[in-house]
Amino acid sequence: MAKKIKEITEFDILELYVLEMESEGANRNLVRISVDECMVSALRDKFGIEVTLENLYKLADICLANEWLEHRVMAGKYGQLGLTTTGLGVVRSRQRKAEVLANRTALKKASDYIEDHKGLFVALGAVVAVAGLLLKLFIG
Amino acid sequence: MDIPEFAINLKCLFCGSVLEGPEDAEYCSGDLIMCTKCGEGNDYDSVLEVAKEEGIEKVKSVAEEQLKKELKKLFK
Repeated sequence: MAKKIKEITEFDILELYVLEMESEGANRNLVRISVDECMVSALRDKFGIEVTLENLYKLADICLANEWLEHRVMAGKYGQLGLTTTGLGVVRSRQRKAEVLANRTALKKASDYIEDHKGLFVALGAVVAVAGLLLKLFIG
Repeated sequence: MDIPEFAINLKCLFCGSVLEGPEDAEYCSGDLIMCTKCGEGNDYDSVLEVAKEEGIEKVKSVAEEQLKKELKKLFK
């Protein structure tokens, strides 16, 4: 069976910045990373994600457009980019959400599952109701 | 120097739209504020941090403007 390849998102790039901050013990103002072949190999090493440089540029464009990353020095469009407060907030929000999801009780998980699939449950209920009606009409 | 009062809206970190919620809602550190537009959860502390930064920028620009005016008056 083929191993499912994790698809890279713009959030993985932001997470790479936070990992670098934490490993360097530096705040976001002191960390600058270029979107280049080094980032491609860093994503492969840290997250196990295979990505092309072109794809990475597209994701970096999303980050720049949303002001999650910013240019710190004159180093080209993708050189020496830094994480903004908003970008750091995005990572923290996703981490917090993952934490909340992981700490749910079994009952809450079941409740969330029903909430997420309520359309399916309504359709299932309708099928059961129609089946019951048909049975009553033709058999009973 | 008179610095006027500012109102800073709390914005979604993901889509940039203004975060809206029930008026009586109370949040504290560690809470997630759900964005009604994009549905993403926003870390309360990070949202405040971004708003604080925006506020500082606004105050800075107004203070600079006023300082320029005062200096012009001084050297007239």
